[in-house]
Amino acid sequence: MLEIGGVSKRYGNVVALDDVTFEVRPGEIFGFVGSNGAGKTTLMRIVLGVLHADKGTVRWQGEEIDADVRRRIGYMPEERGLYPKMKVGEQLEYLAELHGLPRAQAREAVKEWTERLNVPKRMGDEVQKLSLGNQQRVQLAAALVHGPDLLVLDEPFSGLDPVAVDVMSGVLREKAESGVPAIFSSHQLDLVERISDRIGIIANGKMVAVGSVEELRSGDADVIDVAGPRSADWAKAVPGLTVLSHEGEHTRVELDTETDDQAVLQAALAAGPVHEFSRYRPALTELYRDVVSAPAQDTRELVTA
Amino acid sequence: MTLSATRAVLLISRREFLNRVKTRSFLIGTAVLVLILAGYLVFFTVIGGNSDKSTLGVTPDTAQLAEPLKANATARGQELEIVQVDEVAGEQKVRDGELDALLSGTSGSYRLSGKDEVGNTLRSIVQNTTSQVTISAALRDAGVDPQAATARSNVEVSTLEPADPDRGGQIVVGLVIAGLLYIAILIYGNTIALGVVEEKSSRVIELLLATVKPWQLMLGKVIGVGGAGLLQFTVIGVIAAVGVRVTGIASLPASTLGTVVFGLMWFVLGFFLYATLFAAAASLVSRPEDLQSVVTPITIIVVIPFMVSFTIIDNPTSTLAQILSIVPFFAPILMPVLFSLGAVAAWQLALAVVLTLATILVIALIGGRVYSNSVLRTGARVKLREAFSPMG
Repeated sequence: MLEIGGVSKRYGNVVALDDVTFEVRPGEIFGFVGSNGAGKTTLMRIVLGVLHADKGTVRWQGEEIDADVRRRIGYMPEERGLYPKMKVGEQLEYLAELHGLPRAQAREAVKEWTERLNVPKRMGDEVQKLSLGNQQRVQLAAALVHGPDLLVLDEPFSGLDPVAVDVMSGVLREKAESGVPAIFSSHQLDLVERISDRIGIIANGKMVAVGSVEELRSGDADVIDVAGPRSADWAKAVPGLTVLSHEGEHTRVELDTETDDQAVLQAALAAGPVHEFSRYRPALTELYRDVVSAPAQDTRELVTA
Repeated sequence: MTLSATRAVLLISRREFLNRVKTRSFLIGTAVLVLILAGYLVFFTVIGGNSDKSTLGVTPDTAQLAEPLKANATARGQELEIVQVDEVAGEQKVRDGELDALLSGTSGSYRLSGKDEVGNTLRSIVQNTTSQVTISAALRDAGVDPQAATARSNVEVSTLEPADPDRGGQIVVGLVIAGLLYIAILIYGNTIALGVVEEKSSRVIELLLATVKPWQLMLGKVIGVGGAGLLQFTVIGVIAAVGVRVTGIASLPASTLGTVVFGLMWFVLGFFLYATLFAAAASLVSRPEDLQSVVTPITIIVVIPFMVSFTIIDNPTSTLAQILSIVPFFAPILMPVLFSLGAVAAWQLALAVVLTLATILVIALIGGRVYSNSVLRTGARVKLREAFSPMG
């Protein structure tokens, strides 16, 4: 388990991280979202020891993280980069050795991962001669080649074609199932929603929400979509019900905590045939927009269930 | 998984070393430097071959001068071949270039004829011989023993300090080594600087720093690139020394081997000193185009001792020479020069080494900090105040 405890970091007068606390559990894929400059990259760099936190701790399996543990992390920096003039195979082998693998084992691992990621024919090519997509695959191989215990991937999906996205999420899922947790950041919220077990939303250096998508939704009032009656008049008769929108035969209503959804259904049926009656589940995009635009003092405390 | 600092440095230096040595430009660079040196050697051999040996024709009239001429030439370390011809045939041979000159006529009307000129050495040998022979004959006629007369005019030359017959050779060896050190430090210092910037501009640096510490990266680079430099210049040195031996164009002083080994030691010391500076300076910028501005000041620091080495070679025992050769940034280039001239005491040498090592330590600490603070920063050049600040 990776535990981030009260991490703060300033650059001069700019607060990059403000008392950030969360955890990534064993075998969990943790999606990290937030606008540009919110602090995602800074946090990942602190976990990797590339930057030092002003305050707070990073713990792995209960122990303060040190260089030996960091070497067991697979890292994909936001700023992609490999030696442009070094051959793919030599480069991956070198990186694996720098992460503590003995030579022979490093060679094995390079062979395995270049095959898995579909770039085995590129082993002898200089990185700069590869297509962008293949460079991304090699970059991912660089994060995986030493058999890490934890993955920290900064924007791993940016610049990937749909096939590569599938390969990438497949690898993440498989690693997670073998007990290797992953923390990754992305702006593609639908993707984050689909593959993450839990999500953290960061805004202006503060962790504003942490939890599974379900947990993030639970703070919202019940919203129900009803399709059938051509008018929304029926809803106005039900106490504790607010009409959010109405168009054609589609009506979206919000229930206050006292109101029973069965009473709503009855009222709708009384107005005419009902074809659809379903709970509205906001997408992560909407949750994100709500959370990030919420005033700071209003921050929802969803942290850890 | 553990990775000892030693293994980290070793892995990094191995990559840096192999990466330089395996490139075509390394081979080409070495070959070019060897060719330049070889060209030098051939040049000297050809020039030397022409000037050392001359052929002089003598007519039956001047044939009696053959022996004294030869003796005179030998005394000057020149080889002189004498061919007896008659005057007409002799002149033809001079025209054909078979003879360098023809000595004809008799006492009072000696004539030395060359094709379009007569070399200074040959002219002086002939002039000297004829005057000697004439004066000796005159003395003998006057009843004076020419040898006794010569003995009376003899001047004995001595020096208050023992003269070193190898001095000329030592100066050459000293200057060549100073020159090689200067070139090597500049070439490999710039190689380091470029390597540092390449890691920054390609962003691979972040991946590296997630597993090794900045100082390990810097040390590994310095060792790896320095090793490649040492290899290259050792190869060049060996080829040059063997070349000189085989062609026999110059007699190397007996101390040459010692001076070369000494020079290599100072290459290591000087390289560490300057390479750390180059690495730290290069970490301040993010793009190769910006490199020049930060590297130039260091280049100037290297150029000064090289220039100074020409001054002190004439006067190695002067106070200036003795003091400068101990000053850390001067020592790596000046010490080998003084050493080749035998103008340093053991304590001076020891002091210079200790001071240089101490400076390397200080530079490595400061340079390491600058490197750590700057190496992840991209974009504009890092301000020095920020680069020196203790916390990254």
